[in-house]
Amino acid sequence: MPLLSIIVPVYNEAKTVRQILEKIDAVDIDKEIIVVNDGSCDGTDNILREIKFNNLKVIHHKNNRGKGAAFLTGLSEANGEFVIIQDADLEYDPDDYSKLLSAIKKERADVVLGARFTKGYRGSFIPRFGNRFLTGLLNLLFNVKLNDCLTCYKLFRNQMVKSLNLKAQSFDIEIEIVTRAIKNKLRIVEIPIAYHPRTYAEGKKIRWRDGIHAILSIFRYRFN
Amino acid sequence: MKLSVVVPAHNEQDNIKEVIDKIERSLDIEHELIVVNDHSTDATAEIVNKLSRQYNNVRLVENKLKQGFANAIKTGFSNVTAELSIPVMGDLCDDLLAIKKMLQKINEGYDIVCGCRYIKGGARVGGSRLKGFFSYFVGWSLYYLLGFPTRDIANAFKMYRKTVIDSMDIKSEGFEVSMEIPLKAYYLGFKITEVPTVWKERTKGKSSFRMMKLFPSYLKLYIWAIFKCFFRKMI
Repeated sequence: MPLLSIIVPVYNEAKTVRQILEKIDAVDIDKEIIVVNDGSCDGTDNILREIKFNNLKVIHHKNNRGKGAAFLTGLSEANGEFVIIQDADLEYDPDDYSKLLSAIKKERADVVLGARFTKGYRGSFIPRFGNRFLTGLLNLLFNVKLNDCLTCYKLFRNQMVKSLNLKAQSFDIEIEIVTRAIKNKLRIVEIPIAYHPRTYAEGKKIRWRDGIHAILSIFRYRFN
Repeated sequence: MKLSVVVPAHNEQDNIKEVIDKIERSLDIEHELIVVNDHSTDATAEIVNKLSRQYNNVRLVENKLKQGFANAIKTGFSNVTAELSIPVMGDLCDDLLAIKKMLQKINEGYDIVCGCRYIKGGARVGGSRLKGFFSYFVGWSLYYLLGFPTRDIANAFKMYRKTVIDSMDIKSEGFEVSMEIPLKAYYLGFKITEVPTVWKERTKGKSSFRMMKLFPSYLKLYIWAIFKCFFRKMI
């Protein structure tokens, strides 16, 4: 059983997917990489077929089903002791894995979130503001004090995250993971991580409608 | 005859001929087209009367109630003779190709088929951004938080069975009627579904939609829907 399962949901990231996979592969940990291609139509699937790493598993969704669906597909194949979500863009840094892993072991945490809003954060105003707003809303409704609930890097114990019984199919998986962890009174720890935001020109996909979905998700998981 | 198309028209002289021509061209099922003249002060009525001589299934009725979208719709509904009705806007914004998909859903047993702009295959092109924001928020929140069976409740473009219209007393006065009917129908137990549609902002003429005036009416319906949902859960 490897130490860390890295789940990479991918949708139309032909420009960055090879690079990020090489970066992940270069990290010196006992790992398995599970890539879930969520029905990409920009050539991502061809690029993935060419990559042959040792501990790489690639699963293809025929249609685009959503980040949640892709993550859950990956999770069902994950055999590592710990599981982490990794986006297929270059905004986050796989070198932070060891930092997060030592935190989960040292702090005896159930979930470790990589927090971005520490000093030195740069990025477009609207996603940054949106994130702050959503994290603030979540903090208010769930009575917690998180710094960054929508971060990509979420590290958890494999059995623990499977026991949360996650169902969300779209981007709302991010909210579901955090809110279920809070509801189940899991120990959540935040560790500052590096973040290199990309602009919309570079391919950032999040839009205002996703913000609405995030707000609705927070309310739904609070009152359900 | 299966379908009654209801076109509410208030000062649509620039669009109405094109709307009628388009509907007649694209609908190949038997239908009647009722244009409801909503107190127009332009040439809308004359144009429609001329066209009703050309197309024998097109006719004009007058909204004898107070001027307003809801009253025009009510007048149209009280004049239909078919089992199914569908309001089509007089400004060419609706997606006539969706009508066929709606008929399929009716045949599957649904009572209301909603045109939805906010699902795959649907779109909202042009139009005020603020209005679009609220529309999207209301549509998705009712679906996502209350389990409502459509993601675009405020859209007027919906196909209704006569039993739905006959079962309720429409109270709205403005555009919020398009939200009132499916909400009430849902709690009365009617089966509702949706198909994707493309909505395009009008190019000619002026819209009568006044955000500030309509916001309280939509808000009232929204709160009513939430209240009704929780009340239902508590029983």
